[in-house]
Amino acid sequence: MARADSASLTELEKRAELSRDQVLWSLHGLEDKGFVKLHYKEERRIILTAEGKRYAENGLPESRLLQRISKSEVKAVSLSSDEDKIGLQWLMRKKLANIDNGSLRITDAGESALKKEFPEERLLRAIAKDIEHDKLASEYGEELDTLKRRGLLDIENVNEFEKAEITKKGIEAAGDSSEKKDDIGSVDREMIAKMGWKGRKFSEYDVSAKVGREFAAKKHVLKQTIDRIKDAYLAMGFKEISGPTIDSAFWVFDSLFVPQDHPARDKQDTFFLENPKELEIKERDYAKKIKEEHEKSWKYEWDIDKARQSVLRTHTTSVSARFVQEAIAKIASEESDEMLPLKAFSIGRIFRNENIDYRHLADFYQHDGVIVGKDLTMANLFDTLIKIYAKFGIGIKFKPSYFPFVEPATEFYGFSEVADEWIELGGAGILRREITGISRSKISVLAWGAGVERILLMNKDNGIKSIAELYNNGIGFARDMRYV
Amino acid sequence: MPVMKINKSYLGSLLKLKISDEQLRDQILKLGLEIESMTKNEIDIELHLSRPDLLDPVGIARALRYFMHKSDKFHYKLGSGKPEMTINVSSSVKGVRPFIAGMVVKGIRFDDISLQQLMAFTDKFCDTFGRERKKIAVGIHDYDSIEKTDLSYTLSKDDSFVALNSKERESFSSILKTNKKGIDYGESIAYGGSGYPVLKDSKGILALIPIINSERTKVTKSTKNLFVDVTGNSEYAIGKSIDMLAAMFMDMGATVCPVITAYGSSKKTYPMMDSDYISIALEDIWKSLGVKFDYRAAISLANKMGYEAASVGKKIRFSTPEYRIDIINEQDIIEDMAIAYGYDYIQPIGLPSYNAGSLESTTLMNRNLESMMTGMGFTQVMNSYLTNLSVNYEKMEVEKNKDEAVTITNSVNSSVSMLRTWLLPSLMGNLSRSQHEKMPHRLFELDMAFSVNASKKVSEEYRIAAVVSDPKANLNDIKAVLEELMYLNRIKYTVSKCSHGSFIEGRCGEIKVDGKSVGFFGEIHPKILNNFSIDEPVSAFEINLHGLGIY
Repeated sequence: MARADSASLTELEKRAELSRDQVLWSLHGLEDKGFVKLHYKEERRIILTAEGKRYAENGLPESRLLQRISKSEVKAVSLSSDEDKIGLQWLMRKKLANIDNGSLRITDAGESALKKEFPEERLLRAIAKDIEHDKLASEYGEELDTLKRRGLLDIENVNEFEKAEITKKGIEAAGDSSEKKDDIGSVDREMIAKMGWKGRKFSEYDVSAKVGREFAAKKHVLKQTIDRIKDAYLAMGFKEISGPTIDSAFWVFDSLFVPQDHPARDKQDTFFLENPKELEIKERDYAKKIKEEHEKSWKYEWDIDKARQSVLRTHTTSVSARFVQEAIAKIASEESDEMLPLKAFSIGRIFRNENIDYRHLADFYQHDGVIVGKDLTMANLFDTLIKIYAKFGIGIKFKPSYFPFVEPATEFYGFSEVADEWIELGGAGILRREITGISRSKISVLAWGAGVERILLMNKDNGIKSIAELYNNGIGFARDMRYV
Repeated sequence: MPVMKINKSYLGSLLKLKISDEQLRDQILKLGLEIESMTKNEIDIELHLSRPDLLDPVGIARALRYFMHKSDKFHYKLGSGKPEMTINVSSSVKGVRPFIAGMVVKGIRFDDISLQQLMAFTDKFCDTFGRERKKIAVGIHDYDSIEKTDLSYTLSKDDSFVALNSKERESFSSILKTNKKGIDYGESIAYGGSGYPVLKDSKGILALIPIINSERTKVTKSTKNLFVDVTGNSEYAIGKSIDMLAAMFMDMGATVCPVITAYGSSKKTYPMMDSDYISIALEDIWKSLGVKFDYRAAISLANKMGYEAASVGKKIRFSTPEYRIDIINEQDIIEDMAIAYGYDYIQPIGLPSYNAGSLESTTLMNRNLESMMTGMGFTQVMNSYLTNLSVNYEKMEVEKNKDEAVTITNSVNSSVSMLRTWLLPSLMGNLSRSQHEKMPHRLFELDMAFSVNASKKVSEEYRIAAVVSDPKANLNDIKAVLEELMYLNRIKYTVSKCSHGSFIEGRCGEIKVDGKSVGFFGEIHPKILNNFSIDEPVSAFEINLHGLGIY
């Protein structure tokens, strides 16, 4: 630097053949010794708030709501989420929609707004892409103010490094110390080979200077959690099993003693399929037994056509049901060479026909476990579940509950630091003999099913606020997630 | 789950006990009910569909009194009163709604709250246990406004009457179209064009069943005596329901008098107030719960749940309460014994493991593949299996194939109509949502996709797909990844030129293993990038893992 009085960062990078970070380190070190004076210039920088970032990614609430209105009728009272309310407020303020008879109607201004991108939205995206402030301010002055008032962005003054100026002391040091001039910056191949470092000094870097994170490629947090659950079961002697995602109502409901007019089988909760409409029930004898049990206990006429309907499974207990049926057939015919109790588990996607929004999903994971043995008790069931959840540091408590397929039935709860309350983790119990087809004094079966995603909601450190976040999969989300 | 609003002071008056809020909450939870919220005046209780007797404050108070050992009256029997009247059932209702039961309730005293809670309860009961009145519906009338002759339950042609809360006569057909109850429940009931089920006295129509009663027999705060009818398509269910209702009215201080149902010459008298004996070996109860207690303790636990019980030999004989609809057999009673004992007091007991645990080969293999992909700098994403024709086909510029797609009939979401047949559309969505993030973008997904083949068989298969997006992304970036993945897995493959709507013509390769197509790779066509609002070039591959012979 002695060659000139002052230099910019780019010039220094070029001249010293050092990287930007290396130059900065060195400069900070030199400033400490009083050899250089660093000059900063004040710059205005636009920073998105968390809410602003979300809208940059997903669009403004009002533009999303406007899209929805344009597609189907929306009642004002049905808007309950915070974002919907914000959207409604801004649609009204911007006169893009009005409320007519309780329903939202698009105005002429709304129709023309629909055809193009909202200017605020364009601005949010431009900021997210790091376009310079001055350019944005000239193009979007008005929108910048609006978004700032909405709390979607902050404008900060920051000091950016402009140039370094050499001091008198610095010139002296550079001039009279040949040693300093010779200090080694980057280590290179030639220097290593020729041992050029011998008898020379290495220039000092500021090791405390900030550098950006390197982004690790990683497994999805949900997959990490699934693997931990699988390993927990494995350690306790469970065998992994799996079964169809697309299944007949027979295996999802009938085989589990859910009567055919039960509300759980309602069209509102379950996805019924158009293609394929029906699935064959191959287990004819078992179906006959199920028919008898239903008709005897629930006193109605069981309809095999309803059992053939194909559905997206609403729980993975259908996988356990198949396992139990096969295991008991084997035990009864003394074919099995495994010792009782038999333990099995499955993890898979399940479905609910529910409205999807940024907090609710229609598909998510369940883990399901089953133990087949002699004289198995609620005490054994509690012990097993306590041990599985202990592996996640989650203490659980049990409450009486009701499921058609187990008696006694229990729900279990864990304390969620995120929700700040006890939340339901799953349901469990001893399978009814109508399902196992064998007296409970001979063989009893413990069974349970529980949500997977909510395990991540128990611990604040995981940084997950809602289940839907896990399926958003923006790269930013993936990069920000830590290992669980 | 339905939520019922219970008035706390009403519940308190029924409990006839001084009890703190905390105690009340604790006892309700231990009974197996869930409290949504509790304020100064109200408790919102989440209800279990299996226990309709716990759908109202009267039933909850009854159960709580047993639970706290404050009641030892276990049975509900009618007095010696003679049947008040007969309902003559016409054979015309047979194919429509065949069964009816009635009773007369005398000396009831209502106030605003108890009347409102009774009406709310019957609505909830008919919606849940009654399956929106298809299976069971309850009608409650002012008995003193009914002519004291025999009633008739019959099908009628389209007639008219003044319906509850109306001023004018209205025809049945019009009620079904304009009255709220008519709209809510009319459609679900199959009239089959043969007529409308009605209940009549000698003066006219009492109710259009199961839609709405007449204004003439409206129940108000000052009503003293009630006529109650239960109709439905299951004789068993209407009998059980009217027994339950009778017990409730008795608990409200009224006297219940029977009514005869006459199906021609065959007659039945309701309520029957049925109770069963079910005997269970004490040891079998221990074996389910995992705890031991003696006969005396067992009987005390049974009493806590409202059962009269006695020890008979090595067994406990339970006599079931008249108001319980849900008890099928001994397993239901064992559950009640567990609740009475208290789940909190059951000490966990460990189970041995004699067999080694194991993971499925797909799990093990998929874990390896994930390590390989993250090792090459790809971050994993997990997307919904649910999608729609537009994302799965149109936006990817490939032809729609409705025969191949697993489609849904009844989705409540317009964005959900099928299961995805491949993964790349999901990944394009991820890139689209990440446009403001620092480049490069390297993502992969390893999960399932679904399709239906020509013989209507469903295939559920694991696939792997990866995308690279940055200003310089090209065919070689992704091919290098593919090459490494195949090398690591010892798979020999060949590549042939292919034509695929999602890729640039001439920059797409089909991947074949043993001569069979297992996937493709290439540079995504800018048209697709436009469709997904992606600003930088993307190259991608997708492979059906079941074609590689690795599992």
